[in-house]
Amino acid sequence: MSILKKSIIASAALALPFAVSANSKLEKMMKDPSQWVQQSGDYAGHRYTNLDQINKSNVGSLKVAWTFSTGVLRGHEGGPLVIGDMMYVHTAIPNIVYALDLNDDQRIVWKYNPVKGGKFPGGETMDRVISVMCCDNVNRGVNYHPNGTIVLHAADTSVIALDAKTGKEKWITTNLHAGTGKYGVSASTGSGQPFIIKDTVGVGCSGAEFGVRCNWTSYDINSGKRLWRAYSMGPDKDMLVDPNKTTSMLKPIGKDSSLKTWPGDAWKIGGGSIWGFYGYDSKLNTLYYGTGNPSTWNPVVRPGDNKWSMTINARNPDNGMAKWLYQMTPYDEWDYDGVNEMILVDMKVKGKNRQALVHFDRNGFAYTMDRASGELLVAEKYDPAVNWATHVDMKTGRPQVQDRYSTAHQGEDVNTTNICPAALGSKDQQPAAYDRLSGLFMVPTNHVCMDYEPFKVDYVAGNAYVGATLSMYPAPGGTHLGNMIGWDADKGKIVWSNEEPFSVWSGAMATAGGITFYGTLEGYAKAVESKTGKELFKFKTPSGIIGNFMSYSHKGKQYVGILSGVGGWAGIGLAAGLTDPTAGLGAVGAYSALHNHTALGGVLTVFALP
Amino acid sequence: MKNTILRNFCLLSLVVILFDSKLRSNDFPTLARSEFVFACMSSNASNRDFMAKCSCAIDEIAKRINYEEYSQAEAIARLQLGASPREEAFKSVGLSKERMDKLYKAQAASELECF
Repeated sequence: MSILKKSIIASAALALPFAVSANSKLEKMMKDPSQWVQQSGDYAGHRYTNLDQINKSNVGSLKVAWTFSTGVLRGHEGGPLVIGDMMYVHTAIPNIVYALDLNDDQRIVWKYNPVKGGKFPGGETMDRVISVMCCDNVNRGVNYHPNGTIVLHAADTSVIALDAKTGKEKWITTNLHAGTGKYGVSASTGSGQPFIIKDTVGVGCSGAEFGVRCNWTSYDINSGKRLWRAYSMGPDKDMLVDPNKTTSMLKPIGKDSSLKTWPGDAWKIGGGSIWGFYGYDSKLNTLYYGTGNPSTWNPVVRPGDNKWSMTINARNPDNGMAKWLYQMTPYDEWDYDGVNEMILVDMKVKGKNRQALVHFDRNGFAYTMDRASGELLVAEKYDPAVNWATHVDMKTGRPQVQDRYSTAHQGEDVNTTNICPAALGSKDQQPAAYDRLSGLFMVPTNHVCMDYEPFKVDYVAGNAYVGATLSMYPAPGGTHLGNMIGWDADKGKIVWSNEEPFSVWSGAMATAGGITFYGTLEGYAKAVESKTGKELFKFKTPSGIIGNFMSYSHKGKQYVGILSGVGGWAGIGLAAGLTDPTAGLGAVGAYSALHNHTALGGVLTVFALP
Repeated sequence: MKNTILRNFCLLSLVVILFDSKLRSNDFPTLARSEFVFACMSSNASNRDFMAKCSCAIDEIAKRINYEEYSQAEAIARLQLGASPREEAFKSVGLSKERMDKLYKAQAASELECF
């Protein structure tokens, strides 16, 4: 045997246990409540901390321990990570990453900005990327791999591996081409978290408003080499499905399951973006994520189920093959993206122990599924206002759509009115938390309805491909636009509900102290009792909150952190004495430059007991 | 008789004042006032004269709108600076218009009083 051959065998033998240990190391770190090592806290997406120093009886006296200004305006979604004594904070575009030393008054150890000379690593200018970026330039945060890597999924779809200690680039690869429509995908952008499984990092893509065909792509964490890519729609080989083995509603999906559900080549610009929060079960070795809306928003031009848009995907992370798929909203007529978070809980459902997956969909239904088999167990409305479908047929899994709220049935250039929920969904990406103490899910929701008028639009690469006019308003019978709810995923029932004047757009976090944190668009950080929803604490942060709560402990003390930052700085618009006081509000005219004031942009607020 | 009328009038005024102050609780935290003054000086001029005018303006606004309404108006204004479906949603809702109208009225009054 040659030395070369020997070394190959040796490295192969080494490679396998390493892959396993990297995964178990990360899972071990997730169990340590002093750290917050992934965006969702753990693979199961519980967003739950075992820390209980801050609890029901003392949360009222919570104080600001320290703050950190990100220096960037616009929407700050996601949240910071804590690995050991370091905290990692990301920002909206340009997607700066800061490493802060918790041992040294949060000194900035390193700062990484992917935009150099006005351009992202993929070559697109920042302005061009912003022009095709939906939703306030957000990014949903970085993630960590135990080989000492922080991974950033930048707005131009570049996946960037950074040395966690130094912030130096280890490798960069541009997943899809933002902006110009090269590589057959147009105007894809990156906003979702990069997701670490074993020695891989996977990313989705955003941009269903721009006629993209989205996919999940997995990369080797050490080299940045592409391993596999699974498209949301198209031929079976593109989607990495096995017509005989991949199931939906417990039955094999059959050949060309997607192609049959689109007119002609429409699947090529079919949307199906992936940018929410994902789940992974290491025992079942299964990755869970949801796909978004089919393009365009005008359903008249794409009759059919438009598979597999609006679908929960369960896949083998090693090769991408789909185990099961479940389409929640076949033939979407309302933009009810299926991207929301996947929460994995082992629980009793209808008296039977289940490995469950709980998903609060934009379409207003909360689904409880068997995550091993893909069996549909519960599908109930988690906002009583939901009216576009009467119920989900548990045999077929299909929602029973009401004609009067069907924008396709009403037709092009007809305004379909009073549809609930609005396109924002009963809940958008803002992730819910699972309270392990009460067994309830803490769900931030929208309570908004809409009028929807689809119109014909021609696809031009790199341009918006929306094709619908919308107007939105509070659900009937009230003036509030949001609710924070406690949900029972077995019974499919709301246990408590707190009204909020605006949509609750921040991610929740439940704690072993019996409390749940969430934030509001006015900027309030709130803590409620998880069992009852009773408000125990309220503090106004400098901007609106659309970030997700996290917790860690340092030198024996528990901290709770939250990013705030929405849109621009409203101060100018509200200020008196302007020559034209209304100029400030439209972000136009002479005062628009003042909106670039970053003095009051994104801020991380960290709380602790005095 | 005259005295009684005067006394009644005084009592009535007191009730009105008390009732009014409950409605308009003048409950702005100092931080919110400071931020307004900072924004106002940034928009106009960073000098002593505008510090006085801007301070006057926020005090006048705080007399006419309570802090909860003000922070809702602020949230709406902030959202309108980020263009996306989420922000669009808040442009058309009744609450947005109501809050912003009330703020505009308070702003207009503060302009008359202070500038």
